[in-house]
Amino acid sequence: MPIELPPVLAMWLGLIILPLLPRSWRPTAFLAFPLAALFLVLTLPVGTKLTMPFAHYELVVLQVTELNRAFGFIFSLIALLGGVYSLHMRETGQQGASLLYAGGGLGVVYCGDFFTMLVCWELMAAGSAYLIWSRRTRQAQEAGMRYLLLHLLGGSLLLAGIIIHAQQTGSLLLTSFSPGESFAAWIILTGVAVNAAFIPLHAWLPDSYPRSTVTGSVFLSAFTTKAAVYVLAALFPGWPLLLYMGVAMTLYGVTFAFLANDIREILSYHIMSQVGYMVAAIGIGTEFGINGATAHAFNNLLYKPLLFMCTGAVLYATGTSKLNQLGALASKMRWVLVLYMVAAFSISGLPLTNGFVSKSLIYSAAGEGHFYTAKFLLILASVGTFLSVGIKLPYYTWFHEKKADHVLKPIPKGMMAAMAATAFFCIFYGLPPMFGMTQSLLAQLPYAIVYNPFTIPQLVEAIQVIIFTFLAFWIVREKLTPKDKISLDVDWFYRTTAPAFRTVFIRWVNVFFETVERKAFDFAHYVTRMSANPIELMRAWQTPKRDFDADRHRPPLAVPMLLTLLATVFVIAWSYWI
Amino acid sequence: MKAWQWIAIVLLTAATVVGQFIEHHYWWEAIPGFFAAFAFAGCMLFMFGGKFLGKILISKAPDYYEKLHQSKEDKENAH
Repeated sequence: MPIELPPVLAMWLGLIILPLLPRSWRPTAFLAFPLAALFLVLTLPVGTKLTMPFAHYELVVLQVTELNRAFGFIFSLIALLGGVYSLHMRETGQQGASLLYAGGGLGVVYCGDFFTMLVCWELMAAGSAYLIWSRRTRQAQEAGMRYLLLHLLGGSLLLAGIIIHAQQTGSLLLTSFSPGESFAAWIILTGVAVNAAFIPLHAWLPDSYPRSTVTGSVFLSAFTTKAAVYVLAALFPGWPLLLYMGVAMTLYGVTFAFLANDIREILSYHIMSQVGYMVAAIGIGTEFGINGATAHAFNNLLYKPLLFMCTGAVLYATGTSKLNQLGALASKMRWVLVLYMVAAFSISGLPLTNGFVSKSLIYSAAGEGHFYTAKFLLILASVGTFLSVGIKLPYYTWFHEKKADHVLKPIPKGMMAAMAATAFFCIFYGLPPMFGMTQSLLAQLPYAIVYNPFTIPQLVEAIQVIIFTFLAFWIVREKLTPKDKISLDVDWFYRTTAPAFRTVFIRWVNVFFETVERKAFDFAHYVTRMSANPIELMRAWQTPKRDFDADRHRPPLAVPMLLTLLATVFVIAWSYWI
Repeated sequence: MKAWQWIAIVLLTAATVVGQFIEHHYWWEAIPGFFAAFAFAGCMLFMFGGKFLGKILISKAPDYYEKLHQSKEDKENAH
């Protein structure tokens, strides 16, 4: 009999228990909660449903479907590996935020109604913003605020869409919308689009993730975007807009990644680009497409955190993540390089890594649906992926020439262990069918399929792409030496206009309220003076002006005393009479 | 890059071209070295196109936003 509890509760239990434990136990104890979630995820059978009454609605707090099983498993696994990576970290705040954030992700994936989803959605935004602020630099503080504001906007749009949807249909249960079905569906899609980093709502991603903490970025790279991918797959399969948007995202991401100087910014743009593959596959909308999106999200949740773990290790050891200050680290950080390359080859789709399997699945889905232009553009994006993540980043970080002297801090064992374990999974899920491992990935997918990515044309394409991308880079490499530059993105629009907005929405509003407040106090002051001594005030109006004269102006006391007496007598008499 | 690494690359490419003759589903997959040329051209496009975009529009000095806000504040203070 499986324990029917939402896995999110296992994570959030940690928020109560962790602070009660001694500080030195907390990093290890942290692992218990993702493990418990993983146990629940693995034991809950498909079809489990747990409901809870709330006002007039029945909330579905737990619902296991063919689609969310794969997401739940990989979310719990990567939270566990992220915990191992953070074993050296002693900040309870960050541990709590990670649990809140990862739990929110599991909540979004496993819920069956819009209300529960919204609550988890907002909690994810809160947890992740904390992980950015924890870096405690001025840049992180500012970027975190921009991040939070944009996500609150997304959350509000989601809420607005949900309210309209609930008004129209009277139901809060998650349903999949047919393309362009209703106004509410469009609003909900816009809200989800913020988290899925659709152009032009994506600028928060490369703005904030590179500025978060070393350990925080591992969690950040996993949950926000992939939870949004799950919601897109569940609610918006087959929307044609998603196909165009996905393809545009892949190309936009790789182009900007090529220009970035911060190694973690390069990877952040590649999150956008990789999410583009999933969004495009959801836009195709066939069983093949949804399977491709799920498989790619599953694999992405292994190699992307691994990339962030390895670049995090570089940042931890050297103290910088700027490409123009790194170089020639290969002899000192050999294992980090090896593990990084496993992830880099995975994201580039080299055969024998997990990326190859899911990319082939998406290409096949595009080919099967006769979306040949999309297929070619996606392959073009994978050229750009290998160029930045597979060649440029490692070349200028571990090879090339030394640009600055770094005293390397030794890398904690936990970090290395987590990196090795994640790299193992990257290869494990990419082994050919003869080892049965590809099947174990395919078995996770929502629709049962028999699929073999190891066909000659697919192998030929993947190998030629990787070799000739490398050759092109090798020829031009002298011209590509990184420079200390930043890239402008659409955040330019809100970062440059921020002062104007501040003037209109903050300064003018403040001026208005200040004026009102001043006037109110003036009035109150006037009233007080008037009631304290009306005659003193009236004196100002009298003409000709005369000085205050007590005998003239103060009425004799006899009259009010007499009136009071008469009133008292009257009341007493009246009460007896009644 | 060492000599044996270059030889390995050439051999691997040759193997993929042979593979193209053994099995292909679409007409473009039958053109020898199709994806090699595609990737080479695409990579050149990203490198030069990217550098060009960076030069005209995107890449700025690292203190771009600080300076922008600084100059605005200076103006406000001057008023």
